[in-house]
Amino acid sequence: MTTLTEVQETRAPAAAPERGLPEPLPSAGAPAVQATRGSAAGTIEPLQLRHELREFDRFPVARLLEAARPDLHAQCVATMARARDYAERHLVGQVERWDEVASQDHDFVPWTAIDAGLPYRFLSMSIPSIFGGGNTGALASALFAEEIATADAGVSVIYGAHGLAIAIAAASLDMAMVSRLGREISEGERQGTAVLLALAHTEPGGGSDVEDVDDFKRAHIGSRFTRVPGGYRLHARKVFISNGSIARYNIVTAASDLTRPLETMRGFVVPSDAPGFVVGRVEHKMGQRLSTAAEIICDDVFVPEKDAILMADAGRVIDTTLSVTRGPVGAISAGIIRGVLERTLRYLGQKRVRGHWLFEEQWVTLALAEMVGALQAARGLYIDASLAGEAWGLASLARPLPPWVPAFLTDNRLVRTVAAHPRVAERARAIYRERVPDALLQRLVGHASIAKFVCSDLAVRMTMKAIEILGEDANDPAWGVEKCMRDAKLTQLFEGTNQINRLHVTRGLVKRA
Amino acid sequence: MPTDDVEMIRDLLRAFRKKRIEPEWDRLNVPDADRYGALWRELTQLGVTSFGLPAAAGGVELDARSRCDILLELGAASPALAFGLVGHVTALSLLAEASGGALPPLVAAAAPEARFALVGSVLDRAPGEGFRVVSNGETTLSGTLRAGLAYPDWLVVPAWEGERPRLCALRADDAGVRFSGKPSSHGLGLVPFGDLSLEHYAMRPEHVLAWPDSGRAANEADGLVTALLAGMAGELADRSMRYALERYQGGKMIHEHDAVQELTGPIELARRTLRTLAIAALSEERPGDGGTAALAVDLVRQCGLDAVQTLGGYGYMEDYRVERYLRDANTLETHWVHAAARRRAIARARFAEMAR
Repeated sequence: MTTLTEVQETRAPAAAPERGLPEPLPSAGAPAVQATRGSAAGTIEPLQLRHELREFDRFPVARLLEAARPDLHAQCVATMARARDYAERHLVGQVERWDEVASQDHDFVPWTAIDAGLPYRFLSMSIPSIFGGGNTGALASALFAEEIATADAGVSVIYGAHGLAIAIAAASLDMAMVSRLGREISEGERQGTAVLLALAHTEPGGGSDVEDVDDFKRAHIGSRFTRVPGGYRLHARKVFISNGSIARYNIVTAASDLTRPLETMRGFVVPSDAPGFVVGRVEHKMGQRLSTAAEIICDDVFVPEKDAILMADAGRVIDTTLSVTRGPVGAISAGIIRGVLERTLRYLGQKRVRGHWLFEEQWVTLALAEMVGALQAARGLYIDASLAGEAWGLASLARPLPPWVPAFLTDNRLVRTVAAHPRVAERARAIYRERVPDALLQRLVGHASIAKFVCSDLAVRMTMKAIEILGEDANDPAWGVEKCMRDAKLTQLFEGTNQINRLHVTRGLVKRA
Repeated sequence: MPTDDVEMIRDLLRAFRKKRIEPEWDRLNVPDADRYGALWRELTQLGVTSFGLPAAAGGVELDARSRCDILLELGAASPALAFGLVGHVTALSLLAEASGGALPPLVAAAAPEARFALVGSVLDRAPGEGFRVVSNGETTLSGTLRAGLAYPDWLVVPAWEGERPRLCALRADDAGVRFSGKPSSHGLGLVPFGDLSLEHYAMRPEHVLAWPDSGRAANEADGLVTALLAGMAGELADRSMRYALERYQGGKMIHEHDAVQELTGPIELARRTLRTLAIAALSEERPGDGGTAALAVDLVRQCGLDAVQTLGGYGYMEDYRVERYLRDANTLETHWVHAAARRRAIARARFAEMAR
């Protein structure tokens, strides 16, 4: 097995000096619990969750899905299996140590893990297959997010932030851009190069404001663009941009008229080597340290016409994006709950007090039950939000073709060219508006927001509970339990704070009788 | 103590914070014996480290309000430093009580300058747990316990000799004392955490004292930790409310949003309530049960979550100095308060009382 000291972990989008990592913690992975209070030192009683709590195929909903949508069912089973294989091979046993390194070195990026993910084709999974992607739907993507977050929420957010950038291009129905990015991402995967994306939307003067269509109109937005021959000049300052400092392309949002930001907003695909593009401060975060959050500055960056994303109706673009990205935040939260639960079980399997196993004490049994209940509640909510998206959202416009249709009929240059034609995009927008009117879109945002705020609140509560179970041992980083708590807190903040999410639930799902 | 003196102590500690804590804030998150020692010496010069000592041993008598406000101010400034002071004062209170007010000679000689740390909890000890004293011609102390130790000169260790609870005092730098201290990955970062191990450590018999059963030291610890937590709640209230006054969102300042008022109001309430509770615990004559701190730590952990939430993304960043209080509150819970265990113990005690 490759040791960590042999691999490069920190690198800028271009190149950076190689950095060695410290020796592993003596107790990394499976630390030995202090055997006190009459314990039988050395004995282990392994504990784990039953299969129906870990394997998608054993979830009750899987049976129904298999009957109704065998294609989706197969995709979910396969995606979760691939994600688990990846997490077990490349994340488990490493992430706690990487987190410690990242606490000192804020530029640390787990490139080993990102590069190891390339053969799994996770970066292109949500891109339509005609553009080189895996065509992975909302539910399978959410299951993927849970599985990766069980190992590490920060790594899950690296993929999530990349998916968010794809989502905004797809929500704009700019298929030409999705096609270009999709082909470059999948080509990168084939060649062993991670072409990561980031969405640079949050501004110093507008956090949750830019996540809400109504607040956006009144937000203090400073990023602007002007038209020039052949393209645009972009002036922007964005903050807390996940992947911003490591992405090959940042999709930067800006408005031409700052008094009418929503009406005049566009997206711009800015490569990391564009003149005037600067990565500012990389934030020192409480948790999710394997995912960087950076300040992005575009100082008079020239963006050619072809790299602009037309957001014909920015309000719908924002709501569509939120409807597909908040559910996965719920899934990340569910993954954190499962992760902290599995870590707590690993601990309890070694911890004896006063001559018996700690897990035999009733208060621990009660706490574990609460954690298992929270996991199932969270999972139910994000699956519900994902299925709502599959059934009524943007994804419902692109039903997969029957399996007997030969691939060469869809995967060819002609189909790609036609799909990416501006007139096709225009027609697709019209169909989307007709099939998913504003009221339905807001209901979808409502379902996604429920998953986001309830799951993240549960994740924080359950991780705090796990800290109480471990007591003094919680401070040992090797158990990873306190890391889960630090990681969980961010899920209450990004994709709109939970307060904004609550407002969106009422806006979308409660009406006058 | 006259009111003027209490206010003077508060002013002195605020000046200490401004001059010594604020400029070093970023560096007070990792273990650093020299930095901690320098800060402690200044606190000693201010006269706020000796109130656990009996007057006969050079201590200062302070009333409950003054003791509360010292911990409150220090808890707001640096919970890790305050944690060290709580351990120091509780250890000295226990020793003084166990020895009838006159400390063992070696301890008394060291006490005015030395730092003391209490290893483990004042409460919830059961025979067979933690450290064991064996007197068999020679008196030895053995055991291992996970602890956060704020660079003490002396350790005060609760232990069992058979079924009799004992209190042992020993030099922290003796050869037989092993402490695998390393940085905390969560809170109270200035203090190293690890396993304290003693294996047949030869004790001076005069440093093995009968456990004091009046419960006064437990009250002292309960009140001081509550005061520390009150200081943290106050800091969280100030920081989150200041941010809410400056930040615009959704067409108005964020303090005007119901959502933000619902987050910050309880933090302000916690600040007010916890000071009153701390003073009550420090004034209590009955044996303490740690219930006040158990209530306080749950409140302050929630305050930490809500303060970070109020600041949004900024609250999650280390620079805004809010998330560290949340982590500190978590570590105080796991290394001192043990709120869930306290709640169960309090219920058991009350059931027993009612059954009688």
